[in-house]
Amino acid sequence: MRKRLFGVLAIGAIVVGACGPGATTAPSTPASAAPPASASAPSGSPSASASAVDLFGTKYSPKQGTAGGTVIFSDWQEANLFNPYYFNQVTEANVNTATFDTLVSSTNDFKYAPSQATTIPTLDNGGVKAPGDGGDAMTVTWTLRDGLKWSDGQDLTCDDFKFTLGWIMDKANVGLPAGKTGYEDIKTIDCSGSTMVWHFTKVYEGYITLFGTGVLPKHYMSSISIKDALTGKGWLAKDLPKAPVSGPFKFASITPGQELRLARNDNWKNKDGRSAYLDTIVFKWYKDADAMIAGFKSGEHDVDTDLNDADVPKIKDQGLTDQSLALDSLTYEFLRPNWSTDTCSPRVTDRGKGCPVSDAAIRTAIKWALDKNAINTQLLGGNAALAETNVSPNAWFYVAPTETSKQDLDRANKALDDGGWTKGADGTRSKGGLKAKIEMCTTTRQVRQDTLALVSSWLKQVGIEAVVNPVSPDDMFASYNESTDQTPCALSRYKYDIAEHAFSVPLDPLSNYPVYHSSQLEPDGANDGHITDPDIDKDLETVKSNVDFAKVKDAMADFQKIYVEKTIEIPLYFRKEVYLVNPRVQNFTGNPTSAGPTWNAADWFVTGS
Amino acid sequence: MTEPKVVAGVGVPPPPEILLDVRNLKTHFHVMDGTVPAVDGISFSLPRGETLGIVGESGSGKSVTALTIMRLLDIPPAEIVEGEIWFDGKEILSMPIDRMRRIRGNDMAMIFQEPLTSLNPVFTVGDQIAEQVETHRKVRRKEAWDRAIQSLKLVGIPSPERRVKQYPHEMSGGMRQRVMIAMALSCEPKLLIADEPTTALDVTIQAQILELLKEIQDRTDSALLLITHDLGVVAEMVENVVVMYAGQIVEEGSVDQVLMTPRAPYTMGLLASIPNVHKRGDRLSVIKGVVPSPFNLPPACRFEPRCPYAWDLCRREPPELVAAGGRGQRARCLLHTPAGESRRRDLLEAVETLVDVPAQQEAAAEAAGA
Amino acid sequence: MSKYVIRRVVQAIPVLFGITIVVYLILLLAPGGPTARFANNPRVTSEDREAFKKAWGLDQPPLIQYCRWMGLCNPDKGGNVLGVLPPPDAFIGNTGWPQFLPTPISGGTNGVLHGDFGVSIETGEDVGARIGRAALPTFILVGLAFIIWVFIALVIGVNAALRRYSIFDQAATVFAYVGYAMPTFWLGIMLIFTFGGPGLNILPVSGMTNTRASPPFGSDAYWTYFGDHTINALLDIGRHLILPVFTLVVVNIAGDSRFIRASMLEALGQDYVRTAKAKGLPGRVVTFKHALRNALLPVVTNIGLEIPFLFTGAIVTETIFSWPGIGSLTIGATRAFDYPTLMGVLLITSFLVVLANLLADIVYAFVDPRIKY
Repeated sequence: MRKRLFGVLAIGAIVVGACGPGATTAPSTPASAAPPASASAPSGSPSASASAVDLFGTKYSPKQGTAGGTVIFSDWQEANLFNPYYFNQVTEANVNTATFDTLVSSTNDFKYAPSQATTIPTLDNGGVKAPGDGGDAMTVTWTLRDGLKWSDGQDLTCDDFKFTLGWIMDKANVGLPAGKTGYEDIKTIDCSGSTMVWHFTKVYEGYITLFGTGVLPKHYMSSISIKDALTGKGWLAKDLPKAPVSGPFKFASITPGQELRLARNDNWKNKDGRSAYLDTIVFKWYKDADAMIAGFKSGEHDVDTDLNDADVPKIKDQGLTDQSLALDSLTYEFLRPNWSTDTCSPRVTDRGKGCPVSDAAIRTAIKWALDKNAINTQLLGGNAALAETNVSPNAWFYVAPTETSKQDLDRANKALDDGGWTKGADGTRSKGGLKAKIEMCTTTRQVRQDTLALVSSWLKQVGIEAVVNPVSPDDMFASYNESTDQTPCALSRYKYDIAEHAFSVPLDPLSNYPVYHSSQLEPDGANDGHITDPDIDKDLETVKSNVDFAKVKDAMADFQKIYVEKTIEIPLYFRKEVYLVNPRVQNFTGNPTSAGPTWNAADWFVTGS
Repeated sequence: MTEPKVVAGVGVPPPPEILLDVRNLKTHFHVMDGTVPAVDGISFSLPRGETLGIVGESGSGKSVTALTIMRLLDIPPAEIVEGEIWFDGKEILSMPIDRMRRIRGNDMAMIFQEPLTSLNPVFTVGDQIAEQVETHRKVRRKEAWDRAIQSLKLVGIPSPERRVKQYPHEMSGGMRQRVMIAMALSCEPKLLIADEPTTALDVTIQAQILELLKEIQDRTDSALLLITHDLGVVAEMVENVVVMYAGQIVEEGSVDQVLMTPRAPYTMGLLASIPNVHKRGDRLSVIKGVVPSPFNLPPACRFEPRCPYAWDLCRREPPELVAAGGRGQRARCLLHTPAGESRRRDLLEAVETLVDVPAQQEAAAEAAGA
Repeated sequence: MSKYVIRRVVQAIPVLFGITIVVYLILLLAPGGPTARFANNPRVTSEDREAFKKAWGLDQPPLIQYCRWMGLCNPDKGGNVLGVLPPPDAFIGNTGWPQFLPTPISGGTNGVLHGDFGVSIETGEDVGARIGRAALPTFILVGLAFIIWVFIALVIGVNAALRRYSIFDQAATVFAYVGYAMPTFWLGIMLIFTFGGPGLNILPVSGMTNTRASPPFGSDAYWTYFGDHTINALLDIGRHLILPVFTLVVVNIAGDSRFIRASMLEALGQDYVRTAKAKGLPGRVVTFKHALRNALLPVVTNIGLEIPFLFTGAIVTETIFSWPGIGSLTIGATRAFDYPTLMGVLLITSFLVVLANLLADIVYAFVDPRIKY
């Protein structure tokens, strides 16, 4: 049975813990979506490699459709929260994307396309100035499309953005899953007709994704106090039919526990002045993924979402492969080495004092000792996209590594020999009284245990003795406050040597900052690998303080180079994001970014009966 | 209840004055450890309107005999291996169970030992009596109910109209046994089987119940088969008696014969173990040894290991029930065969010292009279 | 009798009170909490989490949280202040009477004592409304299954006892143990794969209604639809009921049928059954009047104690068949650390258990004349 943890969104990277097979795929919500991009050649501050940055050239081109019809869209977890700033699950993000339009949308090919905005402001096109006007650290100017309306017919204007900013920044407003990052840097928003100017107190690289889950309707929300809003008021089941939304679909009815019905919002038009094709989208909630797949096979619904690698064999067994769509997600599976020199697994008692994995030689040896191809063919059916870094090859700042890793035991041995690790009589290496004996933690998920068993056998060949310790994801991913030094394999306590798990990284390069910067160690940060590398820090600081995407990309290129050279982590493969789609549903593309599969719901139409 | 094993070749019916005729009845139980010959070839008969007692210790087979007659044993584990039971001119062991059912409670009724558990706790006593009447007499509910009240009155229960609506737990033990008797009598049976009817009751109540039974038996035409371990009860209640030991009849005769001039060593032992005012101060005598295991009975005489008069022949020759002391008294003991003639005197002397003087005189007078 | 009932009801009050404390403690002691959803989200700072807790009152000492949840504390009169013990004023309602008295007297409207189970942290909805909405589907599903399995268990149990050691009895025994040992989720999935789309595709596998044809069960639109197409609506629910009801029946029949068999066997061995036979009563009267009536006495108690199950339902079964009942609600609330919803479900369940005990005792007094209160 699956257990669904809450996905989190936002720029923040997400630990994909998971116990069951597909558990917790982190959702990426639109908020986190992406990075800003600078369009081609930067004007103001030119940058050498700028021409390589391509953020906007989407190749998405939907087929012409016909109006009418219903699509039943299923998930095995239910959406409960509909306020665009409070929801925190993948399924809720899918509802949000269908019901809220945004300034910019993330396309299925990892690009940005303007939606409510006419264009995306960048340094190049003059929409972004850094330093900005009148003492701003940065000024961003947007132009809203004409004729934007709420579903109740009211005009959607710059005032709504201004209101939403104030609402987010209200001190009483707490527990926003996307946090206040970025918003807190906006001093004011100036409105003038369809022009909207954001005045930043700091350079904020992620400005494109602000308000990424949609803006709130001022005329509706201004009468609801923050205290009431926190309890969901305005977006509860009983409120939804009258709640104004800005997306292609509006709430028609909701029956908690069963389904949510969306109806076409005739007050929404796309750039071509067209409303959505479909009359209705029904979100039908299952409670179990296997039952959902069976329901699809029974014809009870048209689309299954929120499936992953683990579901592929089931889909195959059901003969549904030709109706499935598997995309490489932004979630990568990896071995996380603990860089800490003094805190590591307390469970390996007979290796002497010290932490072997903190030695680069050991990490390097592990990298060369393991055979990702073997893992792929033996355990994953050969379907996986192998990973070299944490950056998806689809990301705009991705730089292909100069060398692809493959198993090379000689190099592994050499790294150990050079590092001073000598083999003892029992075949296990040691250095200065510290034995190369390590513990590898992971969750109880079978494929992970199998993977580590393979890794362990390879490590033995180079003189590293590794024991596998599968623990509950609740223990492994417990936060600092929820764990103790005794919690087995708790990442937040650095009480581990190597941990295998998955991590979902949004497209925004800034998301790497809290995970890899040395200032972000636990308990306050999310740097669970205890990575303290001055070069990495430098690159991330550049990313954090720049809005010139060419520079950001350069810094990220360097980051990726160091990532590989110093074996920051040992990535294995990217997970799949899997959908089942009835062929009668047209223009369904899926979308592994935070926008989710409903990003183009307005273009969906159905053929036949 | 399952059909009994069909008894092959039913013999000739007894004369009409014999109400109940049991012939060579063998009831065995098949249990996990083997077969128990609970009743092993007993025969007796009870004429209409007369009384017969069956006496024996626990496990002697007397209750099984009663249940076999009522055909209330579960088959299996019980099996009626051999024998015939003639009741009112019909052989009942070979009778279809449905016909037997019409006899039960109607022509043949039974009173059980434990009145509390033998009455259904969730129905009123009136209901339990009336349903029996309804079943056998095909009368209306109202009539059956009146009959129930009459029956209660008959057994001396005060204000029966009120009592009839009570539940068993609302009554005392003696009252419950009266209800059981009333129930048994409600259809005016030809045979009343009373299985230890007073064992579970207080001594004072016992006397009342016995008095009642006797009175009822006198007043109606019922024959009474009284089963008890209590020789005192037998002395009070019945004309004839059979004594059972280990599934067999070891002695039979009139009450006086058996109690005054017992001819089987076992019966003597039983009598000796009764507390007696005339023997006050003496040590109470008990039969030495224990009742033999039903799985491992002595090969010949079953009482032999405990018998003070046993000699080597008793271990070889199974005794038959033979005439002993004349006038129909019979005993299962080799002492009464020619082979035991030389030893018989010891026994007879012991009897004389056992039985008290007045009784002896009485017996002698009777013997002289005959 | 009425005296007894009153006494039992009065006795139940401290029991329920104790239950609320235990239930509250269990939740407090459970690892995690409503902020666990933010655990791995670096964007939600620890200050945010603290503020979130504060907004929901989760920062208060457990005693105050409990006091407020119960409706013992009046938030208007200092029930909000921090401290180990609330000030005496906090227990006084707006009308001057103690806050724990019923709403018309105390003026209080918040808290369990005033019928308010609070607001779900997960969805912001009123907990009472959530539970109320989920109760009907559960009641339909489990109620129907309950009737069926009790009936079948009676038939099987009585017949197995009457024909002890027969082929029927042995088969019933095997069936009972297999059913008993069968994991519910496995059976559910097997049924889905056999009768749903992956197999014969003759039965629906999820929910209560056909999403394409009918509005969702329980919505206003549904009742309109139900009024217009009663037959179709009933047939639709009936079809959706088959698999989950079957699942519940199979896994629950075992316990009851074994219990009834044992009880019946015991009754059949009783002296009064022998008496009934000795009275010449026909076999069916002996069995069904004398033996069964007595055999049912303990069964009545047993079944009475199963009544709370009608409410808590079948968590696993509801999950597998996506049945929108209390079981699904409970699972969801547990995953979300939705304390108010969980507390509501647990409290109502506890209340039903106490009530069922009381009912079972009272019913027992009616069916068994030996029991007098």
